[in-house]
Amino acid sequence: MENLEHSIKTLIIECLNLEEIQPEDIDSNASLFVEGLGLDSIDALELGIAIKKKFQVTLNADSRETRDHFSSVKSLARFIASQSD
Amino acid sequence: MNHKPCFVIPDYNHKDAIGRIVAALHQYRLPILIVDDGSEEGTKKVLENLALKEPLIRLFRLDSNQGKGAAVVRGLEEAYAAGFTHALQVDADGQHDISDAGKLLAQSRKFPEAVVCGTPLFDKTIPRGRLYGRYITHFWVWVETLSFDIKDSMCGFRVYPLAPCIELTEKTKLGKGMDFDTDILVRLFWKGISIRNVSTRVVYPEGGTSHFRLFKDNYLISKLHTRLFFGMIMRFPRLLFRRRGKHQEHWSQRSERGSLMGIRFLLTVYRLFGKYIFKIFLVPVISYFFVTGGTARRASIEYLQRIATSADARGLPFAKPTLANSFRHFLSFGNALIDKFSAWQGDIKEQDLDFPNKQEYLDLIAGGQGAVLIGSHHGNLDICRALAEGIQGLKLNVLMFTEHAERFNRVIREVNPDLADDIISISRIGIDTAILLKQKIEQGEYVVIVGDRTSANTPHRTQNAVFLGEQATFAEGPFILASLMQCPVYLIFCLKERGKYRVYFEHFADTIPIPRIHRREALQAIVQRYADALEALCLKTPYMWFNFFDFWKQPVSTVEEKRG
Repeated sequence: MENLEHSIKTLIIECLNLEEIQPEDIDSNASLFVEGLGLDSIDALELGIAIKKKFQVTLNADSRETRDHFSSVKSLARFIASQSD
Repeated sequence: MNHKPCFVIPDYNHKDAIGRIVAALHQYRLPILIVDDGSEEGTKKVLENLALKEPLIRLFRLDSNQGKGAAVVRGLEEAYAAGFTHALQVDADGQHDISDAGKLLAQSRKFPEAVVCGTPLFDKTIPRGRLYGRYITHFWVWVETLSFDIKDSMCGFRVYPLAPCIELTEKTKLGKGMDFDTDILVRLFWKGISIRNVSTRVVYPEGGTSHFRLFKDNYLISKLHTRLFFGMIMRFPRLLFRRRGKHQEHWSQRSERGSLMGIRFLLTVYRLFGKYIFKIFLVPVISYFFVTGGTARRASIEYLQRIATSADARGLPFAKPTLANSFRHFLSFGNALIDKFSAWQGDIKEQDLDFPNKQEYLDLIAGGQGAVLIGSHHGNLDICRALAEGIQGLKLNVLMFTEHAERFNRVIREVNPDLADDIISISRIGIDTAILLKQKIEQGEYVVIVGDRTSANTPHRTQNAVFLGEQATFAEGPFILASLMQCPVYLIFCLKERGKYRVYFEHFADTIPIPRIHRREALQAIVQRYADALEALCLKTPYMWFNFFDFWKQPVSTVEEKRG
């Protein structure tokens, strides 16, 4: 799981050109948006596409609870892991 | 201001509930002025006996039946002559909840200059036809007062400040029948009296007699609204001035509540009366916005000025940036509103559309390839819904720049539950949205977004492009989105030209590549191409531009404060 979290962090940094940040600087539990990393909706779009591409994530269009999976690195890792099961 | 209230009850042949009403009013220890409106013997006796038992009652009798309005006026005059300052009117049929009288009186004590109106919360006893009738009256009253202050003009449960009422009844002939309640309230409003609304439960009493006569009273009420409508036209400037003063107090609250309520009621009118009657309503409403909307009017004239300059430079014909043309611009917006309603309602069919490169569109759909469609606030994107209608399985996902997307969605769906479009608010975009949208595109669905509004959530994500001769700010989000979807991108606009809806469907790019290096330059070039396409349309149909704010003075992107 920790490996997965690390590769998500690397992906975030690469995808969004956050040059001054190291993977270790990102708190796995912190919110990616608003407080935490302070990403905006366009970052979310870019990140979403990158995650889809790298981890082949698919979502159920009818499900309304998907939002919770994407709030922090930890929840993202959990979700991606559950998809590959 | 002094506050010395009493009750006024007009009674015509209501003998069953009056005893109960008087008993309930007793607790307030205030004089009860009952005006017997020439009732028949039975009711006359009941009232006389009641007056003997209850010392608070002062009974007056009109020799012949003159109508509710006349009876109330008599009561108000008697109250004023006896030295009262306020009167709480109560109907004699028992439909008012007397236990709320305390609430109304308390408001009146707090705001003695105002009329305190009971606004009815109906329970299930109200006949449905009555409810619709009330909505029509609500709409008229809003037009007549150019305001949403009066929530319900028909409920007789209200506290009048007597001095302005007497002044009014001495000078003006008010409706004597069922039209009275609305008539006096609108006219008090015109005099500058403010309105306070207090909600109260109203019951249509079982077995109770109502004196509402279908034809005669509807005739009276129609006559009333005709009279009041012209009264409004005559008082137009003063009413506008009044509204303006209020705007400055709490503009934000009012405008939001107003617009949602406004949309809902315009929709009701549209559905009840159809397009042509709606157009008649629209002219005073648009005139009102034109006269009061200083910012919008200036933006319109400035825009027309830019059109004139750009068109002139290219040797194209153009409209002069005059007030008259600006009004035409506003009217065009009003008509677009009607078209929007028609489109939501599903009244605009495919055959109403003029669609030159329809084949290209059909080929795209047949190919099963999803696409991003970028529209604008030039013309009427909603009309394009009609395009989706006839085609099986075509699904649109519309990204909207509004915080109220969900409520808006609800209103639209009330109108037409068959609309399959998925409306997504820009403010709710998250990682999941991106993944979902991409999946949808891969399944052949379409994503629709406008390119000419900047988002309040990402104010720095903008690009400047030359538009009608000067740098303007455009959001980069829609173009980044289109790029990420890695799919064909089309521009789509719908303009009304000579009574027909003309669809412009233009191939914009197979995919939009945005390289990592020189990203900004690449984005800028794409935004400029969009701005050029928009400019060409503006020059062609200048009145279809529906951005009524200074488009060129939006915050220009400088630093990216969000990062870091």
